[in-house]
Amino acid sequence: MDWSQHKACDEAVQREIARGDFRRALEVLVHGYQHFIVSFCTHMLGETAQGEEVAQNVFLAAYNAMPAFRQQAAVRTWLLAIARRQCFKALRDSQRRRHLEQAQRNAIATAVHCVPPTSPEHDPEVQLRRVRQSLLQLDQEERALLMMRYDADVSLADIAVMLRISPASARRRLVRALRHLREVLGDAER
Amino acid sequence: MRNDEIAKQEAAARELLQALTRLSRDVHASPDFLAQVMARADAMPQPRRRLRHWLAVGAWWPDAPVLRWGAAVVFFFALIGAIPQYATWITAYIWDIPAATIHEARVQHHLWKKNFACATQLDGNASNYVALTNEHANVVVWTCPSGDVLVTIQPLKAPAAQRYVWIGLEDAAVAEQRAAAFVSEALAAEKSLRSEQRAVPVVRVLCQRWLPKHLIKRRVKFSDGRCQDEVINSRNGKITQREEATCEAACEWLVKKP
Repeated sequence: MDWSQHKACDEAVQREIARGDFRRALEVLVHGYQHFIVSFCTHMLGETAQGEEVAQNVFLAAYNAMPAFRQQAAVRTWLLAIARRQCFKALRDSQRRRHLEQAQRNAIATAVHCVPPTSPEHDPEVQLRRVRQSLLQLDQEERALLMMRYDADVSLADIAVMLRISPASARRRLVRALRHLREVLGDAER
Repeated sequence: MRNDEIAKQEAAARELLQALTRLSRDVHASPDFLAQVMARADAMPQPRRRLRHWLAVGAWWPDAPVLRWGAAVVFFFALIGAIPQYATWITAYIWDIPAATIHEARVQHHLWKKNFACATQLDGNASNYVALTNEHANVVVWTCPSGDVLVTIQPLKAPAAQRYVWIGLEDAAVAEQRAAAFVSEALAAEKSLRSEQRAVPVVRVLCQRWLPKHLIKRRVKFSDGRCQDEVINSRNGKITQREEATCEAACEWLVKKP
């Protein structure tokens, strides 16, 4: 994703928050980040409808948290931290957990039956589908970490701050998550 | 864990990562997503910036987690260390006296307790009784066997501002402070005071008892034969209540609860 296009959005959000016009800030924020947050939540939860519902909660939580927003923080990082919390909260919900387990079972079945091992490894669409399905089999922390680092392009330093861990711990977790993803995909080096 | 470990893993999973970077492109929000969020936001109370938010987002709050923790620890110990000061302020508020005079108030109360019987025996004919008057104030000095001195100061122009002050021998600092303050203000004309000993207001204490809240009630007799019941705050020596009374030594409030 090209984040340079979000720079103007971030600046506008920060400006409106500084002015105290939180409603206008929310409007700008949703306009700029709706697709990204819906996508993040959908991949975290495994279902589009729930992803969109939780994404709405993410923006509303951000709206409530705007008075405490630190101007030095990056809007994207701040929003992702809220999204991560909201997704974890949704995943903790037992009903959603059951949905996820069902989705995971479906994903595994799809991975086994619909994506043959002989499929072209270099086809980007096939690879994307496999990654999407494999993500659902990862631990929620690993899934969030991989998406924040590679899909949202958040730096390891910012991730460390967000997770309240040291940068070294963030690196270790990222390597572990990558290795785990490759294992799930059957690509890990043995 | 070194960065090259991550580089190694990333190199091995290059295609995976390329797919990961394209994840957010394959899911899109519904066309009315913005409208739905704004409708829900409008149904909520508008968030407001409160004092805690100003404190939380303050520019003085460092960004780095280590510095933030450090600042929090320093702030915490500063708060804890200031507890005696808070206690002083609260005590001063409850006692209705300036915070700077808390220690003095404690000393005065202690001296009242210590010399309570002696204060009751105040007698204008005794040798340890000295009365001084100038154009500003009447001053009665009553020395107790303990060596502590009860000074009664009654400004002539404002008798209601009468005050009792103990000068304790044990607390030299307070004695010096007290003496300096009252001698300079009420007894400015030292020369005339020493030479002119005139009629003085209080010549006897007929009865005296403790009341709740550090108050003392006493019946005093003046040199002109009048008697008066007065309630003294033992912490600041001020008279909080005063009323004319008969000169009977058997005070009814000694046995009855006032």
